[in-house]
Amino acid sequence: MSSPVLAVRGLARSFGTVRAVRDVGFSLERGRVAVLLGENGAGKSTTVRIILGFLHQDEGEVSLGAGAIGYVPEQPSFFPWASGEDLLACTALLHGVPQDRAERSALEWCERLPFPPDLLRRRVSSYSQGNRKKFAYLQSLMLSPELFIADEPFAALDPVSIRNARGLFRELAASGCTVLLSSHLISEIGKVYDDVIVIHRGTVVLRERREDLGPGADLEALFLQAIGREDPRPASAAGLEPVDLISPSRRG
Amino acid sequence: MSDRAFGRLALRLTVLKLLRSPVILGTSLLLPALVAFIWAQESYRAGLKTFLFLLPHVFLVATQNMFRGEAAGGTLENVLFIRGGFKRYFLWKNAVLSALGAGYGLIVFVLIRAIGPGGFAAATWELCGLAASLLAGVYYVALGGLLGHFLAGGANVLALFIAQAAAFIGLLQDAAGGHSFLDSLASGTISGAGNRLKFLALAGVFPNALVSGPLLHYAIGLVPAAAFLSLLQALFIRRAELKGR
Repeated sequence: MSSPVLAVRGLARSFGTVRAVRDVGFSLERGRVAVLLGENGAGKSTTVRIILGFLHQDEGEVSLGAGAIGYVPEQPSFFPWASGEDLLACTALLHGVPQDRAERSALEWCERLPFPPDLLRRRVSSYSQGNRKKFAYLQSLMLSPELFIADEPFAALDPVSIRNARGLFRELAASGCTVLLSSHLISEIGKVYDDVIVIHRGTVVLRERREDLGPGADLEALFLQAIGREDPRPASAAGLEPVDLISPSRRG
Repeated sequence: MSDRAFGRLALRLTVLKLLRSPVILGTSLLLPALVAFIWAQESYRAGLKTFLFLLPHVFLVATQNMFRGEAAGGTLENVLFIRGGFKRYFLWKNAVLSALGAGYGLIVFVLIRAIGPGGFAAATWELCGLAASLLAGVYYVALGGLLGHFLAGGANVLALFIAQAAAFIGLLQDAAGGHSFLDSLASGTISGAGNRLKFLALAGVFPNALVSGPLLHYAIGLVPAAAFLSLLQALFIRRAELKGR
C-alpha cells in the first residue's frame, strides 16, 4: 500500500478546560473520499483546522504526503477589497503557476462548477454566499490539488450545485486526489464517501471503509450507533450490519 | 512554498490593499499637496521640513487594519494561508510595509529635490533628515504592527494618536509649569533622569520629534527600538492561531 496522503496521530487540543479533541488518529489513502462525521462541537472543525495549520495541537502529529492542498471553508470570507481575479492571480503567484495557465484553468473550472466568469472582475465580498463558496472551490481546484479538504462542502450551495459538488468529489478521487469532507449532511455525504470517520466528544469512535460495511449500509444508522444514540427507525429499514466500533488499540 | 513566494504574495496583497484604501491613498496624496502649499506660502526649506516631519505618519496610517482584523475576520482561512502560511504572510507584511513606505518617501523626496533649488544635489541636512524620517517610519510600522495584533481596524493608529495628543498636553503643562524639559529638547542635550525618561516616552510615541533639528542624532536609537518591536511581533506571530469566527 502506498504511503498515506495524510496521517494524523494522537492529536489533542484543549481550549482552556475544554478538551476539544483527544487522541484523534486516522490516515487517508490516495484517491478516496473520506468523510469526517460528528455532532456539533464533536471536534471535526478543530481537527481540520489543526491539519491545515490554522491551530496548534497540544499533542500528536500531522503528516502530509500531498503536494498542493485545496481547502474550502464552511463560510468562505475574503479580503473586502479584493476581486476574484486578484485572488486567483495571488493563488497562482504563490504556487508558481504561470498566469496564462492559471487563467485557462480558472475559466475551465468556471464552466464546470458552474460559476459566472464575469463575477471574477467584481469584489468577492459582494458575491452571494453560494457564489463565495463556489469561488473558494474555484480557487482550490485551479491548483490541481492532491489533497482536497472541505468543511461543510454543501453549505450555501443550491441543489444543482450540490449535485455538481458530489460529482466533483468522485471525479477528483478518480483522478488520484484524496478528498476529506467534514459535514453534517449525512444524506449527501452518504452518496459519495469511501471512508467514514466518526468523531464523538473529541475522539474517533468509528473508522470504516465503505466496502467493509456491506451492501446497503445506512450511514445515518451507522453514525447514530457509533455515537451511542438510538436510531428511531426499525433495524431492517436502517439496513444495519454489525458495526465495528473502533477499539482504543486501533486508534491513531 | 518558498519564503520568497510568500514575500511576493505579501507584496501583491499589501499593494492592492493600500491602493484601495481611501484613507491611505488620501494620506499619501495629502502630504505632497501640503508640502506644495507650504513651499508656495513660505519657502522650499519649510516645505521640505514639513515633508520630512510628517512622512513617518504615512507609514503609521498604513499599518491600520493590517493584522488583527484579518486574523479575526476569517479572510485568512483561505487556501493561500494554509500550513502556517498566514504567519509567513504576517512576517513579510512588516517588511513590505516598511519598503513601500520608504519607496513612497524616496519618490516624493526626489520629486521635491528635482523641482527645488540646486537640482538633484541634496544638502547634508536634507539627507540626514530623510534618513531619520524613514527610520521613524520603519519604527512606526514595527510599533503600529505590534499594536495591530491586539487592536482591530484602525484602533492601533488611533491609540498612537491619543498617546501623541497626551504627550503634547504633557509638554504644554511642562512648559506652563516652568520646567526645563522643553529647553532640553530645544538645546538637544537631555540631562537628568526625569528629563531622559520624558524624552524616551516622547520619542517612543512620537519619533517624528527626532527627524530634524537638535534631536536628529538621537534618531539612530530608532534602529534598535524598531528591531526590538519587530522581534516581539515575530514572537506573537509564531504563536498566532486562526480560531475561527
